[in-house]
Amino acid sequence: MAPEQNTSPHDTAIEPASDNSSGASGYIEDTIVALATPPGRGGVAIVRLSGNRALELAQKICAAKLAKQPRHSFLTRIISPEDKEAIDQALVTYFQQPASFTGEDMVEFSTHGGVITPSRVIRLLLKLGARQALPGEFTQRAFINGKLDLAEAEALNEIISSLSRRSQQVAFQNLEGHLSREIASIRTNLLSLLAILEHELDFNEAEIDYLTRNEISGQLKEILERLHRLQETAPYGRMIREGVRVVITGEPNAGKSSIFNALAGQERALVTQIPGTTRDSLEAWLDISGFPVCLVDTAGLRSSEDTLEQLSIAKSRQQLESADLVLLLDPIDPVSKGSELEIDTQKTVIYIKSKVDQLATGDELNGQVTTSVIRDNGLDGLTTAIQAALQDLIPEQSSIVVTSARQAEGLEKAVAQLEGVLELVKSGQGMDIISAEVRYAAEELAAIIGETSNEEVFEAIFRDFCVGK
Amino acid sequence: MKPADQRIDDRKWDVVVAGGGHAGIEAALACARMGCDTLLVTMDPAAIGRTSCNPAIGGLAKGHLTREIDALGGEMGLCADQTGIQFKTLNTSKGRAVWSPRAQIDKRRYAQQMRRTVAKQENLTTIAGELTGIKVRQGKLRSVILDRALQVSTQTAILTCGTFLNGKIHLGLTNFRAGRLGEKPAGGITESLKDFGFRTGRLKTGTPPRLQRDSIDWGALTEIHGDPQPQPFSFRTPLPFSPPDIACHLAYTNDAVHAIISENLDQSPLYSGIITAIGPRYCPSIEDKVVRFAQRNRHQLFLEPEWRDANQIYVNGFSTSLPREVQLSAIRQVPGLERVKFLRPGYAIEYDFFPPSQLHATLETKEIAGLYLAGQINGTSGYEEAGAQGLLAGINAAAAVLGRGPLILRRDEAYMGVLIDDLITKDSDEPYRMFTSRAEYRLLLRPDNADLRLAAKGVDYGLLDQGFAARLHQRRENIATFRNVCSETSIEWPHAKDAQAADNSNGRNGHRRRLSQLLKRPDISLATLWEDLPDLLRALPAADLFTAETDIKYAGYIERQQALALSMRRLDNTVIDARFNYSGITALRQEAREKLNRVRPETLGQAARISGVNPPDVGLLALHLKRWHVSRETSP
Repeated sequence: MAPEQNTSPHDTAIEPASDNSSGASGYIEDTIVALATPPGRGGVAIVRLSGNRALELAQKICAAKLAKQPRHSFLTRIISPEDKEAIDQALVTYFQQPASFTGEDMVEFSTHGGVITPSRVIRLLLKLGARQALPGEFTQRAFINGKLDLAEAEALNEIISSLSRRSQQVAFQNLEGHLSREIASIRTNLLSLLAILEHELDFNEAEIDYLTRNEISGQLKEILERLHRLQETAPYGRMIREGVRVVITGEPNAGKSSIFNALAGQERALVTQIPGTTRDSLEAWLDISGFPVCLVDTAGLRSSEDTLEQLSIAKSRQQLESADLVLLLDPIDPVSKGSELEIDTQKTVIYIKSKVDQLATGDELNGQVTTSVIRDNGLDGLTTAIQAALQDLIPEQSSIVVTSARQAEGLEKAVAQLEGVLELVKSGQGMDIISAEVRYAAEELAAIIGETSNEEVFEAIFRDFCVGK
Repeated sequence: MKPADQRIDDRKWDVVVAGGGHAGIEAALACARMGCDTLLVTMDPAAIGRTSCNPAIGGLAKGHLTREIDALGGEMGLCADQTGIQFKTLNTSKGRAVWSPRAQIDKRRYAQQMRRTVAKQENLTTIAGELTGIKVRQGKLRSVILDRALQVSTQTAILTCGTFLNGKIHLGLTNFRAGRLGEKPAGGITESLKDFGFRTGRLKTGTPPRLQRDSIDWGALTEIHGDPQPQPFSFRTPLPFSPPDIACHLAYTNDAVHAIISENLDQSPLYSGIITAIGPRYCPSIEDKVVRFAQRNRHQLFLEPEWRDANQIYVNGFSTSLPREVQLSAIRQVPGLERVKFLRPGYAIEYDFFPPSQLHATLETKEIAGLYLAGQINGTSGYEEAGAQGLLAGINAAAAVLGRGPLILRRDEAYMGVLIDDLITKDSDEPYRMFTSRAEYRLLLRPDNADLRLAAKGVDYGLLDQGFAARLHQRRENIATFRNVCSETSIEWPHAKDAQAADNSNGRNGHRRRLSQLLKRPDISLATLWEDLPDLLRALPAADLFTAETDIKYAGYIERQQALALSMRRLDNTVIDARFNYSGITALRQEAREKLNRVRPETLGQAARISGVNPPDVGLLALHLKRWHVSRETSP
């Protein structure tokens, strides 16, 4: 049994740890435990224990003297203190605070994998007074103890949940602070403008040289332009985070599902295969040359009187709207002439002539990708075309990318705020109001990079983590 | 003053105020008016209310403070209205929130008027003397020592010693001990407080030379007058208000002036290293201006009469501590001042101050219960800053004596709130002067609405009478009436007669628009719409119309600042337990930890405003505090 993930400490039957040792800040920190590796049939599972009583609790269930040598892995038996039953043989490591991930005393148990063993170890520790960790709680403690800052924590989560090499690369660049530095630099420019505006409030006209309204507008426009450039990367960020949505469409029986299965199978990188929300949509997660791809198979599009089919066609249209890349299939032997394919001209589309096995040999099909799943040909060409399209969608050189929805939302707010300020400057609004409005924009930028005292921002960052991280 | 036969040491005083400057006057009056037996100790009772520097009250941000002092029932605004000789609202090219009233005052009459007010105040006794020490038992004030001999029993004292603490005047490279030019300094109290563990520092301020009126060629200077419709500071000054309008004169420095100053910098105590204290950055001396704004080839000088028909002229903008001869030869390069004579030269003064992070928000010292510090002793500069502190220290000292709750103004309530909060959270190394840029909620803190923000408190503490309370109520009603009528009344806009000009572009007639909508536009004011206003509104008092109109103009912006203030209040309401230990929070940057340990803020809000404590540090601190409290609650 895997540990329950959403149990709050107060719901458990186990009494909270009654520590008597107090932490460095003069308060008592309880001791938390969770499985750090994904549950399931792995070879090894890691159970993490962190808090003031970590060493004491760990010592109660294993024979080796952990404190003798911190950061040393002891091969030792895990024993139930109640009935002295040996549960497992595990590698146990004690990390003495502050030299641990969380900055607290920590013990890591590398037990045999599977579902049963690690959860028995966790239950032993819970019984002794540890508490099941909440999502992101280890990282939160690391943050609280100064082991990493907010931007690093956010990037760390993105690395953990990276879908592909490209997403991991961008997340790592964010961990290194590329995005934060750019936003901080824009904010610095805005703050210098604000300093001048506020300074001018405090002086009589003749004492200093004022910025003209044109000069203020000019500076605001420059700042807006830099923000717009960042905003433009938000779609890449979303694609990197959530995967590029590649939607297969075409009239019924164009061979969409064959292409879907062939691509999903060929790549062998199938992660999950989830039935779509309609009876006909299917999704598969692929890694195509480093890019995360969510491949979507849809119901064919045609005019129909059948209510159920109309419904699924409507669903297909929605899928098409959310697509980043459309694979449009046009079979050699179209069944209907009245297909209703209206695709947004902004979208990248790959036109595919499908079922070319039915083509008489020697016919030329210029400028189109041709496939035949039955003859197993043309798939390489299709993959190459998809790769090229992905390269276009997510340029490799864009090193500063807005990846999280939270950041994108913050940018949007800051931009809207500054555009409002430009209007005020134009309309002749008083400088007292204008400077206040500039300050709000600077605060939006600050929140994006965690330069804020707003706890809600903190919580939003850690909320996305899973238990054990 | 009470009869001399009454000994001051054979009885117990509710409050003793040391110092008769702007802080001391407000403090003593507030205590006495709240019903406390108050003793005002001053080195020279004839010097009460003396304005040692410029002959003016108010100005940028200081005008806000003056109106706030008045709205709480203080004296400064009333006195300035009665003795002012020219009134002007500054900063009118910017938004109304930063408009600042200012008045030239007749220095002699101002001090005279203040002395009279102090003398006739019930419950207030004034004596000549110097407070030289204090007696403390178990952390509480027991008595004060006057003139190193006389022990006066009191549990509450307010120190407002201004620039007099170990004062040292610099004039060129010579210096001597003094409080003001011609007055002796105060000693003893610094040393006494140091013994109780107080930290002290040294600051510097300066004053310009005073010119002899008949040595000036007035024809060469530009005459400056006050506003055609002068506005009083005080909400209690009777209307119509028609003060005198005595001209000031404008002159400019030039390259020749700057050259002489540059050549003689080695004789300036500031630049030769004799003055080590730090002077105000914002009110710089002329030598500072020449050095730091080298690209500007002229600076404004305002020649201000110190009183009506005064022979003594103040040179605003020429504060200096250069030797007398250098000052004179430099200023004689100014057209119109070629043959000018000094009545006295400019000088710089160095004095002790107590870094105010040693104070609670009531201005009571953290170290000694019952001891309050107010004014320049806290490292501020300016009459208005001093008066504001004096008033608040007085109210809080009296409130403590009377067993009433303290008066702590929030940053979104008053510039006074910003002032006190800045003082106790930001260890500043230069004299603190008020600026509108220090007030982050400045759109809420307009000079015109100071009474609406504060007067109810003044009434509550007994500093304003019930008659004033009734007028305040009427004012609120008038403002509400204006708001309602404006949102219900539509007029044709643009007018038919203006429509031709305005609508040449589109050839359409004006639309009907609500007054409230029109007033929001930056290019339209009440004056523009006066002809269209219903009689009901035109009959309202001008001050109420102004405030009501401004409220409409700032609608939306005001609400936004209020919302922000509310979220800051959440931090202000989070009390930091005195036992909380910052040293253990390794995640805090070193600087933040040191500052927190030094200032020991009382709330999370105060912590957030300490310079060197950044927002993420505050967020982190909030998380730690939450955990600290949870662990306290759950542990046995």
